[in-house]
Amino acid sequence: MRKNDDIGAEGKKESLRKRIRWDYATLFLIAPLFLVMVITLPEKGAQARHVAWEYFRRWP
Amino acid sequence: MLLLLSVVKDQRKTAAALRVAYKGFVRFLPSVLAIILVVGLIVGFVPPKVIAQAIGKNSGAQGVAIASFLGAVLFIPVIIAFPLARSLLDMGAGYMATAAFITTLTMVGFVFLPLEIKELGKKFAIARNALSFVAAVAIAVVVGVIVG
Repeated sequence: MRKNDDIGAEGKKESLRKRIRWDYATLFLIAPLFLVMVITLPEKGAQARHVAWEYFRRWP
Repeated sequence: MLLLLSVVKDQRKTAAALRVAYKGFVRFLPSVLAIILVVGLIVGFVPPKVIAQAIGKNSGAQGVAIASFLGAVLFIPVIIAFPLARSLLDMGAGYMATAAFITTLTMVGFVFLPLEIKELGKKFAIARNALSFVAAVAIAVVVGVIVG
């Protein structure tokens, strides 16, 4: 009985909003978008790639 | 050099410090990478004309409002925010709007409002954020007047 009570109190499933790692979710959305944009628009893409790389290099 | 000194002095504490640093690095890595890609997309694909129109020198109150809103809503580490602000300035953004963006970014945090409310109370969190927002806009206006 006590065990069931514990499950009721602590085993409650957290909402999807709380379970999602938003930082990873954002990265997994943006990275393919970035890739597609860079490939489909090579001229502007090269600039975007260069800027992103420079920022990455400067980040300690 | 300092790390070596620390290892010589106390290996256990140094290991603990490195663990903390590594955890912090890993925790921030996905957000920082995402922001870097967004910055790349903005600089590469958004024409400078659009930036100048939205938050340029002549955008006035509208530019400050847009920049303040973005700064308040976004969560960007300052280490990325400053170079981003530089890029925006190079693309034609105004000093007033750029100051509004940076100041709201550092002083106002809508993303963390629920956490702030939970830890410090509703009244405190809302008053602090609202007053910070007003102060940030005022600072931006003064910076705009001084710098141009």
